[in-house]
Amino acid sequence: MSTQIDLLKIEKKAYRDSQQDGLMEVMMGLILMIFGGFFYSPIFAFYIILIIFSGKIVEFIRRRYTHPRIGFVKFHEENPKDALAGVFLFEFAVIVIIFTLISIFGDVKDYSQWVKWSPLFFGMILVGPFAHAASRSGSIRYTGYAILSVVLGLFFSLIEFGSGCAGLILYLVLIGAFLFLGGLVIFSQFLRKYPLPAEDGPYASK
Amino acid sequence: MPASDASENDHQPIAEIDRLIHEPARLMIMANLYVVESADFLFLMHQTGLTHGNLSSHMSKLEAVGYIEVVKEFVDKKPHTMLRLTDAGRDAFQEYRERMMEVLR
Repeated sequence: MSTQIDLLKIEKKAYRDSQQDGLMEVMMGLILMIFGGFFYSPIFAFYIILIIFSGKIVEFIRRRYTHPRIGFVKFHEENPKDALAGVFLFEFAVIVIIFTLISIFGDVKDYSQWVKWSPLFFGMILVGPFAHAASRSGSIRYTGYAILSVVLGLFFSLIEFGSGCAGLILYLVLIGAFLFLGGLVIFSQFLRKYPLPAEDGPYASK
Repeated sequence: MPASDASENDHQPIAEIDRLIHEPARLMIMANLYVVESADFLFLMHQTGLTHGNLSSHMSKLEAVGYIEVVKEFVDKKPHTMLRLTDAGRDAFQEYRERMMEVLR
């Protein structure tokens, strides 16, 4: 029996279930839209404070809406050194890819070329967190987000826009809105799927 | 070596299996707690599919032998039960897995 216990499968299910409320998408979408707004007008810099507290905000909402419905789980913390090394390596690889692309299709000394390819750059950066979530949860949903972010990034990089950052702004707002609205739909489905247990019911008493 | 001795040795790993963990419901609880740092009662109920009473009873047995630690606390003035594997529980589960692999090899 024991040899049939797939601990990795159990861990992935636990992670997937803990993320099924869609709040990660909501917050990530909001952050991307704020970034888009920031490139449009510095007034949006004020909202960057939301990004700083995004973790706390999600935690607060989860404590009120998610944990009373499906419970709370704390996972083993990943080694911060390994995680940081992975992030740096990944970012470096993305920069090398973008540098190569610009060298092939344009001039690396031309600033406007970097701006033009910035949607793809952001799209590839987004692959990092989505791939991480996909590998931890085994959910195809995150793989879909990763593919979408790169494909959309490439699309917006190839289209010619009049003003400098228009492509990047459109890309960030569009992918942000997609994640934000998609997350809200997932969250509302989650609330319907898991009604709050009765105050004096057996689940609430433990 | 007499045949009966050899047979006894062959069955030794089976005899050494931790019966407390071997019970399917407790095995599910142990496996689910093994892959996380800690989880609350409700989360474990969802993951294992056990009823409130069943989980409560198996939880008490595992706590009694020191395999799990149960922390009862109050969150927003409501009772909340957190569970986690102790070091002894983690070792016991690891040993159980090795023993079973040996038996089924």
